[in-house]
Amino acid sequence: MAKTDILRVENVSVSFGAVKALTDVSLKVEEGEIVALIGANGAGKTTLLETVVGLNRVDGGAIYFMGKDITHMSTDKIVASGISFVPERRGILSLMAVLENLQLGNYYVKSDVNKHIERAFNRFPVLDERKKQIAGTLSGGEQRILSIARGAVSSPKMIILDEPSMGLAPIMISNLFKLLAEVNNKEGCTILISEQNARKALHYAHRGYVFAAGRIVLEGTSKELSGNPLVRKTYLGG
Amino acid sequence: MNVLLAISINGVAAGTIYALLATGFNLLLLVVGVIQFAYPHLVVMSMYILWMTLKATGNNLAISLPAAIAASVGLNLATEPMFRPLVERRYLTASFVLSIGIMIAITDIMQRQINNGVPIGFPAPLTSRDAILRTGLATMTVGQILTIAIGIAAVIGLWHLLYRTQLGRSFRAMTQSHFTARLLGIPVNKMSLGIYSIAGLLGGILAILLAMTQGAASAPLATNLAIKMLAVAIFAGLGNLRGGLICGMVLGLVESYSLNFLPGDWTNTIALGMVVGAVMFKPEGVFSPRA
Repeated sequence: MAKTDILRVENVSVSFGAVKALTDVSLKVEEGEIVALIGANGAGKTTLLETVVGLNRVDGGAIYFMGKDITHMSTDKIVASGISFVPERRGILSLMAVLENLQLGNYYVKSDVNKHIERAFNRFPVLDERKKQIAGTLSGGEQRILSIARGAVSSPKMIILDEPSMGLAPIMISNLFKLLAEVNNKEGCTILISEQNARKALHYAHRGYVFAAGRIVLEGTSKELSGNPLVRKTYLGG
Repeated sequence: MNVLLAISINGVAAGTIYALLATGFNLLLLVVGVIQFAYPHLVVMSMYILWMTLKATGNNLAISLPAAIAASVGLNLATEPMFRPLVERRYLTASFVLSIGIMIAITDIMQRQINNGVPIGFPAPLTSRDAILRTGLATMTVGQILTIAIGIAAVIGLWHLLYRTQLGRSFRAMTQSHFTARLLGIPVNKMSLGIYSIAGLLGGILAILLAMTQGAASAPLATNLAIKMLAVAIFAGLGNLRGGLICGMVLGLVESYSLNFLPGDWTNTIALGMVVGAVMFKPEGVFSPRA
């Protein structure tokens, strides 16, 4: 395994009953990269991300994080090893305060917890203004920012985001990607992101994988994928 | 005036018991995701173990009281493997059915296996009936005052845990979503065991308080308490911790006043009336959900 590989997925297959959700999927994410998974709804992007953090049972293949086999590890141990997962929609604890959401994002941080939270408030000032507010009363965009801030607050080695732009206004989507690029740039945090907004995702990502029917059908640098006729026709509107 | 005060103290003491029962029940419902209708039966079973330990040790309270608490924690933890498959599949209704099974089993043990099925009575050192205040029919005993004091301490301790510590925040995260809690790295199964232990600790305290205030235990006591607990929990809104505390207290007070001012014992009718009223007019309970 190359030294810089932070995540390596090798020939992973997952099924739900008789339905094969992932077939023989292999990918790698290098340290400091932003890697985008693009594909239509139901192509297997979310299944793969959830499988990486131990939410699905793997039928075959293996997953390595920083050289360690995490294929059959429990989710809490995977999170403790440095992967933070920001789920689609269901992310925030809507009945708890903004500050409490961030405190829970630091579940495995034992020292300098307040420093981590202070830094999150500096990066996301809108949350600082509303730290005592119940998270469910934030606007949709603010809730998404909170879920990203919570994912990043513990300075994990890698953040996995599932469809972060889903349901957001275009201006919010741009802001969100800028924030992600900042977290990647300034903190060196590796990002694996699944996104239906392929244009935005490929604009900010270094590399990408295209999913279709539970398989990876294309891979390459963002530039290569953006120039690929199939990707242009199917995901970038021609 | 003294009469009203004594009746109120009686009510608050009974209310504290109901409030703590509803709290244990709500914690299991909220954090773990089970409807543990047999929770009061585990409490009364712990009273039986307290009674047996007292008998075996010559009424040694220093051994018997911790033994009752340990028994309650153990009994609650013993139900975890039974509930776990249902929790993983989110079969809430099935957990209710399972708890009824547990209830029947414990009732059978109490009615057939212990003391030949005769209700047990607790010895003097635990059940001092010395009235500090006695006016007419109403009295106030050491047991009642201790019940109120320990109840308040237990609630303050629990609230501090839930709202001021990272452990408590993690429990509250689980009340909202086991999925999200897992993604935050919270070891959901281990934390569930923690909640069974806390419910067990509360149950052990309740067993001691009930032994002090009731002086006796039997299978019908458990059933009676189960009805009151469910009434309080449904009236407040299933899984509402604050609501459970307030409604428990209200039920205790209403019962106490009704016992003193109405002819006959209407306490069970009042409790069931609360359930029927809540189900008919406010099925989600009188308090809104809060984590």
